[in-house]
Amino acid sequence: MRKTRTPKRVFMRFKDKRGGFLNFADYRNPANKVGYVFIIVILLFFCFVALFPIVFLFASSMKSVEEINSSTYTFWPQVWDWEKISRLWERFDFGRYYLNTLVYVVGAVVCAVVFNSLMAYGVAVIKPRGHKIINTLIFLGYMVPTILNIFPLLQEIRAFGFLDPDHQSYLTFLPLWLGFGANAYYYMLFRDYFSRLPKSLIEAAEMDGASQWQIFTRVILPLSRPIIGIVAIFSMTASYSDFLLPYCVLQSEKHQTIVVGIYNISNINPPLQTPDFLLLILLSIIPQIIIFLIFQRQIMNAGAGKGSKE
Amino acid sequence: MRQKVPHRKKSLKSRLKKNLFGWAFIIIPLILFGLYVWYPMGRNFVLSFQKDYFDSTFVGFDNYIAIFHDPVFAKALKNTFLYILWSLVIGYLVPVILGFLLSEVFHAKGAFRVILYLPCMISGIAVVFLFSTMYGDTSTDLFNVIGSWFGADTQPWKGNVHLIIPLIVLAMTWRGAGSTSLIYLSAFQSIDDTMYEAARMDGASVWQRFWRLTVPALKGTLLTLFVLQIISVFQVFYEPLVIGPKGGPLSSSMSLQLLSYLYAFEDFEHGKSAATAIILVLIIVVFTFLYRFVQMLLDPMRGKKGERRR
Amino acid sequence: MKLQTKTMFTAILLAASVLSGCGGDSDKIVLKIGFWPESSDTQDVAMYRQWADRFVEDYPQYEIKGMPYTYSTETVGQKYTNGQLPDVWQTWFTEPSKLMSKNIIRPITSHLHALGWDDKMDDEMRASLTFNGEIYGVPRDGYGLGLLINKKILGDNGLLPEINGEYSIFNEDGSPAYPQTFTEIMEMSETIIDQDNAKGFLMYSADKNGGWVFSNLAWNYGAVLESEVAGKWTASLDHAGAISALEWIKEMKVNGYLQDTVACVYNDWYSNIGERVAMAVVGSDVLQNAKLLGNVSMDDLAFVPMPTGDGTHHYSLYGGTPFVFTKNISDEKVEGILRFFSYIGRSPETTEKNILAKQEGYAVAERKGQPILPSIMPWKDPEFLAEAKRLESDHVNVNMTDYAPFFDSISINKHAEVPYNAQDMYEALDVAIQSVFTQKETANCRALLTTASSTLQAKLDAGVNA
Repeated sequence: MRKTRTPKRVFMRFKDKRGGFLNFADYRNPANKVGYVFIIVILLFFCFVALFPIVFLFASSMKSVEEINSSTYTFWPQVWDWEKISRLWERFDFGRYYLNTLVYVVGAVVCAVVFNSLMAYGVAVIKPRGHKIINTLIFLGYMVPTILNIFPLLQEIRAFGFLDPDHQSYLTFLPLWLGFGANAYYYMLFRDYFSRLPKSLIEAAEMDGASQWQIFTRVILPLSRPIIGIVAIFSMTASYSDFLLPYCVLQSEKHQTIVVGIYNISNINPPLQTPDFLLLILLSIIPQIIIFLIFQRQIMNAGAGKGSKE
Repeated sequence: MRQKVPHRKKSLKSRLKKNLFGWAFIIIPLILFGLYVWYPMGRNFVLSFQKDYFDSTFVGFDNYIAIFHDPVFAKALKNTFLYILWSLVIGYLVPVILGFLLSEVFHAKGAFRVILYLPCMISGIAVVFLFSTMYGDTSTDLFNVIGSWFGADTQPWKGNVHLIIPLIVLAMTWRGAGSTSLIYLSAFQSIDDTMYEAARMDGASVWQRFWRLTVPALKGTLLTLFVLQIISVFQVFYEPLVIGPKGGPLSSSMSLQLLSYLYAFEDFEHGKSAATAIILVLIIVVFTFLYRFVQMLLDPMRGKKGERRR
Repeated sequence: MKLQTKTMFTAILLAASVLSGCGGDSDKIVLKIGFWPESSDTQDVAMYRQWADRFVEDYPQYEIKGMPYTYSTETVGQKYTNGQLPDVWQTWFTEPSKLMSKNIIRPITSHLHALGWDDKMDDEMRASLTFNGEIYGVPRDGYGLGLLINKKILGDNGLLPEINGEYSIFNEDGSPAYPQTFTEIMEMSETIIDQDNAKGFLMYSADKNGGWVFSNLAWNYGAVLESEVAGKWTASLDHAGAISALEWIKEMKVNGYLQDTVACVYNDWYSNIGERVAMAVVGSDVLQNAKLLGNVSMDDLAFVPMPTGDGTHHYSLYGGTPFVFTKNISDEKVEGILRFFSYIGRSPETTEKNILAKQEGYAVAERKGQPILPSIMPWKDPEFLAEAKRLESDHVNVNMTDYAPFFDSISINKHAEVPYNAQDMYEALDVAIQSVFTQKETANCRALLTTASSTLQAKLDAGVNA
């Protein structure tokens, strides 16, 4: 396949556009130039749609109760009460939610990468007896969302003693972390990647007398950085947003993740005033936005790869 | 463990060793899959024929009969298809358009991508709380304010039984479209430029090029994401729980997943909860087979090749 | 990489074991208190901690552990099946029958009897906690539904007289100027909608709140919603009175006198009563939320008895919050918890510590700037009542002229919720109300209520009649 790269310039002109659906040749036609203006306008519109709710969240969360209950509407607050942030932060001890979420996410990413890659390597590369049936069974799990069977799953976790609210600690994260170790989607990502690696590499290592474990850790894993990164990113975003299972399991106020905390706060009685609750939601998404701005390239590349897998 | 393998010939010993190593790799993940996926699924299947989780009396198809007599279940079943319908109407085309526009734009491409992807980073719970606020029914809630600019009367929005599902899908689309559009972006970008070039030589119009080259080249991605979209719709749970709230108004946003949860935890009807889950599994399985079938129809060679490769 | 993986595992295990710590094992009986304030409520937590310390000083065999739990119908099942319920928690008066039949709560009759508290309990409240001769809870407080009025909106529309520069809910001659019938509410709503952008009335319709208030409206139109006929409980939601009540709602909706919403829940009242609606049905126990959550001055509001539809009944739905005890907890625990009530001002005793706790409760509420209103006492013991009422009158900080009409008449007007499947009934009625809201002119009230009635009947037949 031949790709024509559009050269990079500070000020792009129509004659610089090389590949793609419309190129410099097409742009000699003025109608297509008008079309390009439309492309920009529509994209700007969608950007507005993407950003507006976040700006709205910010504006509304800074309002006072009178403003939000008033019968006249203003988009921005009349009075900016910045201290409200620290008041709410202290009242709900918000820092602990960040810490808990961090611990949760790290454990989830580790489990997602370690166990799914082991499984994928075992099934797709070593192929012991029964690997086909395991593969089929995992595909079954891919179709059926785990959360559908939450009730038996919870009873199982309970049987292991993790649900007892008296003895909750960061150890209670263990059953939740391990859940990320049994993810059909991550498994399939690893499997597809491993099976595309050249067989000769493994054979050569075998000839050198390396054990399977050595081959896995010294040959395969170093080559698998890209896919490890992708699974890490997916499991990071998934665990940050993970709701139902943590909500059912994490009972101790001290050890709840941010999403569980927000949901529980939405149910407290007497309820929180709307702008205050919106402010907590804003606080809950700020880390995600920051992480995105730092790792945008990696995150977006991982996201783009999602559909290329069959 | 550092024994040399003298020849690649598969002796009984080396096969035994291969199995042993293979199973050593997969045993822990296998246990995890068993604990998190297969056991809960099987337990739910058994439970759907039992009276209760704590009373394992066999009741035959009583639970299934009971849910089919429950008008809420009928509603949830119908809603499942409404969710699919609306997610195709609202959610399916937007990412395709965005992907196309992103592939064609050559000014500030990076910035557009970052902004459009940003909503995907926000946790689902935060998104539903945010949108739930915007959908409020008083004249000062966002949607009504925007409506009033166009002279519309104050609407109940999420209180409208006909609007609640489209509104939930809108919130889901807002969050998901950016990441899906990146998948389309890479699909658009991987279309061979020589194809376009040849078409230009032949004097094909822009439209002809689009329908005859671009769309067919995208067929696979379109189909894959179609299925992913449907599978994600089956997981609708906290969206109607929060926005509805609880699947309201009049159960018009009730999803099977949410109903299964409410059966188990609000009505203590574990059998009915399990039966609902099993019905949902059946629907998902049917859809998956349909997908495989359509895939074969679209591209018979691909399916066969895949078979042979194994 | 191998090393890294190993290190990571070790690190996780280490971290987990360090972070988990060890629970303080001791021979003490731990009482898990579900009505403990949320940790974000620091002043209340400090107060409860102080009460717990006092209690443990006197009863060293116990240890108090706060485990805040806000009751809701879907979490109780989840917590119960997961073994996560505290030992004692608050619920609603409609719930004990279901919780008892699902085996989630335990009776405490003998313990109450030993303390003599069973005879001191308010009769209605005791009745709603008693099943098969066993008492399943301790009442915390009661509420009655009443009509909350925004005096400013009514006054600005000329619907209340202005006396001494202030709107008054009484005419010069002392007769009530506030609405006493549903017809008056409709007439006032018409005036308001003509002159103002506020609506007349807030009618709930979702999350069982609609049915809850509707049952009160129906009673005041003379309806009986559930009755025992020849040993069988019968639903009669299609009673003529109930139909009249729903017709009234329909007319209000069609005329645009109700807030424009289909799914309106109880908690919407305090954000609406400030500027958006003139009247709403509210429980007497949450009035302070107008100030606390809606930022509406208590001076702009008034609280009056429920209006009547048939010209005679002014019933006020009467319910409240009982403390209930999780099944399977030991007798010692029940005993300890009951004793603990005397340290938090919730027992019918006039002991020094009980009264002190009440005073401290008021003090914290005052410090937080909370409006303090009269409460409906869960105990009828005269000695306790006298003491509690005296304390209360010292602390009430709203203008009682505007609130007395309700509180002076609640003892005559009170009407308990239906005894069986109350929440199921509310849910079925919600459907009827929401249907009226969506179908408006075309809604058939009789048909809707007939459907609701058969839904309830099915639940009754599957439950109490089975």
